Amino acid sequence: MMQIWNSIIWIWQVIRMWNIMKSQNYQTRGDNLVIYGFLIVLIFPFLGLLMDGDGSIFGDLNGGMYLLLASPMFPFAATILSLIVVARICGWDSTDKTINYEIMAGHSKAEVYFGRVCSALIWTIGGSFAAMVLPVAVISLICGFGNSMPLGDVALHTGIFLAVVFRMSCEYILLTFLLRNCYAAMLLGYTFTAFGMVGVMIYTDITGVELTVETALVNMGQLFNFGNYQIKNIGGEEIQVFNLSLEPSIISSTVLVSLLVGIICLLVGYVFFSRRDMR
Amino acid sequence: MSEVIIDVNGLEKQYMKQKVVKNVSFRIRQGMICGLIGPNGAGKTTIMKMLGGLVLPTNGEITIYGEKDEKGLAKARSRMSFMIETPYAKDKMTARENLEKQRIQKGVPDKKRVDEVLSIVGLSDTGKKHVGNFSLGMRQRLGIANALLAKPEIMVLDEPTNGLDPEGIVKIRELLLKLNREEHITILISSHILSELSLLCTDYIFVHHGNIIQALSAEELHKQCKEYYHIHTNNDAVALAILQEKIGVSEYEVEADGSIRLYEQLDNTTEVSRILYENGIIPVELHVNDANLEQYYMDMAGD
Repeated sequence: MMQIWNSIIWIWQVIRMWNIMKSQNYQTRGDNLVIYGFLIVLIFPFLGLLMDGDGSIFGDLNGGMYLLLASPMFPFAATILSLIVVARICGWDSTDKTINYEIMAGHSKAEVYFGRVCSALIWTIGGSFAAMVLPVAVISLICGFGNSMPLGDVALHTGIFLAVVFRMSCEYILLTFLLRNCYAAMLLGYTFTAFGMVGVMIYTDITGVELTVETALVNMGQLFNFGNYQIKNIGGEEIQVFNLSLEPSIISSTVLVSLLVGIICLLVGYVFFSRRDMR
Repeated sequence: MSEVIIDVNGLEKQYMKQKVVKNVSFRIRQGMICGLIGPNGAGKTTIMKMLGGLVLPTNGEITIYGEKDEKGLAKARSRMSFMIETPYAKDKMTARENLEKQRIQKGVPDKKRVDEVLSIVGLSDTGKKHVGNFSLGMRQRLGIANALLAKPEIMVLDEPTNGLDPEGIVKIRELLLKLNREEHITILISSHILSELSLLCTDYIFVHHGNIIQALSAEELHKQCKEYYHIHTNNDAVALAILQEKIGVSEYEVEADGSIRLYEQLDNTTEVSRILYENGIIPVELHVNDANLEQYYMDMAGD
């Protein structure tokens, strides 16, 4: 009997968490900052194309070539999107205290926290996926995908990339809930990410020691480092075919670490959120 | 007696070394309009925040609709609404958008409810104006609209008339009275405008330095504040008998120490004094007490 009652309570809480997700969705859809974030994410990868010399690539452009040239920008685009979306969904309501209404309306802190977490992850992962796939799909429809990039491997890289986006988003979620301010979260999140990258480069330059710090951004960069290729004759044409294969150990370790770090960040964030008084 | 819906027992809140709420206990019954009165920093808002789940108590127990544990309290709060401090709102959204967001998160199915509550508080014609451009009074009204959105059974309001013009104050008072009488909504309200509360409340809780110094009904308070002639003599029992015989007094009370509170003959105190003196009664204390609610509170808080 107790188990049935607990199940009913659990279902009621899930429904109520779903209400929080819907309200966040309503708010985020009209949020100009998030809209700008998406526009940046869509435009950023095209910069990769423009950086390719004289722009002659546009004559030979297909889905695969776009992916090859734009992919170094995907990590940065995903970082910016995650920063903005997470800060807005998880921090904006804390900044102006409207999050308090949800507690006062009878939502448990778990509903409030995980409702926002789910909403943020859907927007960041879905948004990163859309930003990657939509241009590729559109260009492929017009110009074809080409033979440079094995499609199956592209799908695998995308899947692993989204796992790393999950990790990065969770790190920003933790930061945002600790700071309880969306603007501070954006600033510090950007600072940590930039310093993480630049700091490593400076350290390597100064000391000559290659420092490998497996941040989410570094992982993403590794996934889109398409250096290996072979020249193959396909349909009478010599084409560069890139080798996207990944060692199984890299796949598993990247995914596992991403999931583990992500879950730890979420749990730590929840502990802080549930035990602190609301402002 | 009506059902107890909020039962607070030994509630305390400590920040670092400072206790801001100390061993507070009170009960709110169904149908009450209870005024929470106290100066700034007395602990009123902290008490309301603990009721709302925003602040975790250091000690003590809160029971709402019989629920004591966290899950139960969360469920009970879904039957309540709160407006604490300056109403929170998204400055970059309109009034309608703010309420629509709240309607969704509260799970209110009727989309027309947003327009209904905007109409009740007089914000229907704000259109595309962002809340960031609202006056304080408009924000207060938006907060009240939000509090009405889910048709609560209990409303907890922290200074809801703050920033409103006199007409607005009257409208809110009439609205709250109407909600209490017609829809049987129980209200816990704090305010600095004591005269305003005296027109509204059925019960009062006085808070000072984190303690409840008194809790009483409006009737009891009215008696305390009612103008009376305080008579204390060398023989109060005889004095009373003389007054009853000579001038037929009937509206009086005998206090615990035997002294007399006379609620009549207030325009005739000289005559009362003369009658007592002529009958050999020696007055010890004779004075008219004209305390109103504010004076009553000041006297109590001063103690």
